Amino acid sequence: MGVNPIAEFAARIGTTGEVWIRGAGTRVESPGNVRTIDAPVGIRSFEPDEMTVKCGAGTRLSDLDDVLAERGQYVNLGQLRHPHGTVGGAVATGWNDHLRLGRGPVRDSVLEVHVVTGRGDVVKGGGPTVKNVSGFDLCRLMVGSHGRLGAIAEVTLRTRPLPRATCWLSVDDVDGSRIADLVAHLYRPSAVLWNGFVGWVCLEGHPSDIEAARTEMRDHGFSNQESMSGPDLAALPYRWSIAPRAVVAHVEERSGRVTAEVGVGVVHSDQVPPRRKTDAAIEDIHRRLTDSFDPERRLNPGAGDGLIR
Amino acid sequence: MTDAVLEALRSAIGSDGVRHNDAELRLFAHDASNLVGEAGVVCYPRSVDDVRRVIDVCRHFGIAFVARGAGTGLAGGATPIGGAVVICTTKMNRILDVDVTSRLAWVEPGVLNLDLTRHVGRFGLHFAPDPSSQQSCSIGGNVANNSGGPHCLAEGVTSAHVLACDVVLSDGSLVRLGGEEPESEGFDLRGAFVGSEGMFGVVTAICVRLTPDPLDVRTMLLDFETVRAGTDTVSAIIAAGMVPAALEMMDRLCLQAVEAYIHAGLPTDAAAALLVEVAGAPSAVAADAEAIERIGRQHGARTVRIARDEDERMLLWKGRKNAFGAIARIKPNYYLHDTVVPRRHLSDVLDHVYRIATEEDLMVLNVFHAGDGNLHPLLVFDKREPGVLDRVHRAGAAIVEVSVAHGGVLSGEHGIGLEKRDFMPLMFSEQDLRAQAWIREAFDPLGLANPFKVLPSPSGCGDAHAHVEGLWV
Repeated sequence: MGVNPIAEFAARIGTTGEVWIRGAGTRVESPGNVRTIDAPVGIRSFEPDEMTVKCGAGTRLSDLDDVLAERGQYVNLGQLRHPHGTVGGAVATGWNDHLRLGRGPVRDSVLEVHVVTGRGDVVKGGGPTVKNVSGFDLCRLMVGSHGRLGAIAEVTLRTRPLPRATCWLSVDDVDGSRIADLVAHLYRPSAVLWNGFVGWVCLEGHPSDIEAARTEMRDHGFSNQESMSGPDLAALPYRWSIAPRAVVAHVEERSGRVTAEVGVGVVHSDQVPPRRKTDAAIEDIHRRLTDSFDPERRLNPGAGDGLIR
Repeated sequence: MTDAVLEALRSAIGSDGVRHNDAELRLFAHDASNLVGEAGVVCYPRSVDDVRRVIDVCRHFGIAFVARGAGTGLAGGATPIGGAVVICTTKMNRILDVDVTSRLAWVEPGVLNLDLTRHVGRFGLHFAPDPSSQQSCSIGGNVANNSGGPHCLAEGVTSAHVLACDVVLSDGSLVRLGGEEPESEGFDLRGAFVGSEGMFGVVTAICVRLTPDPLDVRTMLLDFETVRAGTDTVSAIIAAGMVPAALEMMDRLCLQAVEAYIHAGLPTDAAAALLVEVAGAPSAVAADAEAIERIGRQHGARTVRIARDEDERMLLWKGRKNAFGAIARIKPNYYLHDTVVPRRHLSDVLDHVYRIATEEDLMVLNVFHAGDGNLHPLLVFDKREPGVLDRVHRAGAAIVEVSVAHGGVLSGEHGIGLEKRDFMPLMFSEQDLRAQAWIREAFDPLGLANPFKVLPSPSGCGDAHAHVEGLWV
């Protein structure tokens, strides 16, 4: 008889003492002085004709990507930003990459989740099917929770067909008066990035449709060149989150270097973003959630942002 | 409802916003389900301040409140229990702002789903969730139920299209969950709120994502000699790496009923027909349509009818979206179910559905979202027939049980409400349900927002034995 990996994970977490759930450490480093635990590893089931995959949270993203790609599918877990992390790390942080405009946010990929609460209980949320409104949406709550409400043990994810083709283009001489015009002439691009001078566009789909889109861009005065990938964001480590409608003004009035995700509102910058205002009632909801799920604040202590305490 | 409460509500939002006559109380004692409760009073707020004032009165007197949009829900989610205050949002129906460039809109909760799509159509945009009730259901209700619709196969359900909700909590505070900005701090409270069936608070404004209209659309009708050939085609299409915009199925009885109603030339001798729509950029649409036709024929499709123009496309969709109107010609009453099963089990579960209906001597029609495995067995009956309601309820329970036994879930888009509340333990353990109660308590520690729904053991509120006429099990 095999050991149930979720029950075994819960037993290791136990009911007392601080614990840190270790992924690959590519997103968040462990604090060092806390007992570390690895999440279950491995793909439990992959159903290409259901477009679902179930796997342990400790499964490497690259391993998952390989298995899905064999059947022409992928799962959107922000891999462009962190290709080498774990599934659990991707879900716990909920961090998106710059294909969000076309592929949607990471939070929409999670169908079912098994977590271990700070009380040591195994809790399931969601369901294994691609559509489900049975009960409250624990899955959305867990994505981006940094494991502070529950240590993620296993997830079922929604997969998508790999695009027939992916093409990055760079477009020169795009100023604030032309960026909206560029976006208006694109049909559902996967990404539009812009630094105030140069635009980068990612188009995914049928090669003929991509070619037609490039011609349409040229017809409207946007000469474009194929680019190996999008812009290099490595030198812009900080993320500002602003309303998409404020992006043009933000880039034009920038201080320092920026590259903005047009239509999304993430601005990659070399400047630290200002602290955001918090609302007392929102803080109260956060506190009550954590009081219930992890009353002793023993899961991933210190992980997360200012609201998660 | 005491005179003191009525007086407090009238002075809070004005006499014309507070209704207490027998006709309206009866009308608001239920939603579109068969589940009848008891409305204490009906309030029509016109603004977020009105909503706050009504909730302040409810809190002061310790009375529960139930938010209600258009009342098209099918699970009793908006059915008030024990004389609750009904907060009807139909007069909060303004489209507040449309940002065409950023493709988002702010709306009040009473805006009807299709009205938003019509409003933004001139910009080449639409609101993707499209329940069959989209002409009459409200976006506030869509948020409460995390509603779906045929086109959610490719585009995702309501949660994927809601960026922010302004919500009045039961303590009277107004909070913004999520935001136009993409990365809010803290937990995804927006995501938790969508689908909370009115139990976390009352939404007063919603920021939705708008979707560009496709450049090209191809709508096809494929018909089959067996239901299994049709469902196998569904699985093969998905396995081939396509996610059509919609993938809908109707069985023979449904085809016959709809054809008698709309005269669209549907194949009434087929065991099942698939309505498939592919949408997007032209070359992808052409390639997918060709592949789907090939896969259909490989699986025994007798005919593949491709809509030649927009009129024919609309006619095919009219058949699908008006199936429930057509049913009224067969019997005066119907009970519409909503479960989801893995696609590969569609045929087996449908066999069980037909068996269950035969055993209970009921007529069943099936019209459903095959692409995402979302079944909608429709039991038709005449409630004047002695004992028929018991048989309908037994058949419904059996359908839910067989769906879950095949790895499915209780509801794909109608929600749990009262209808399936007591089935929740089929899917969730005690600990799972306790965790769901924690989420509710975090938003509504007073337990005043739409109590007694979704969770089988009411939490945070005392009246555990409220009687609801028509409640199952």
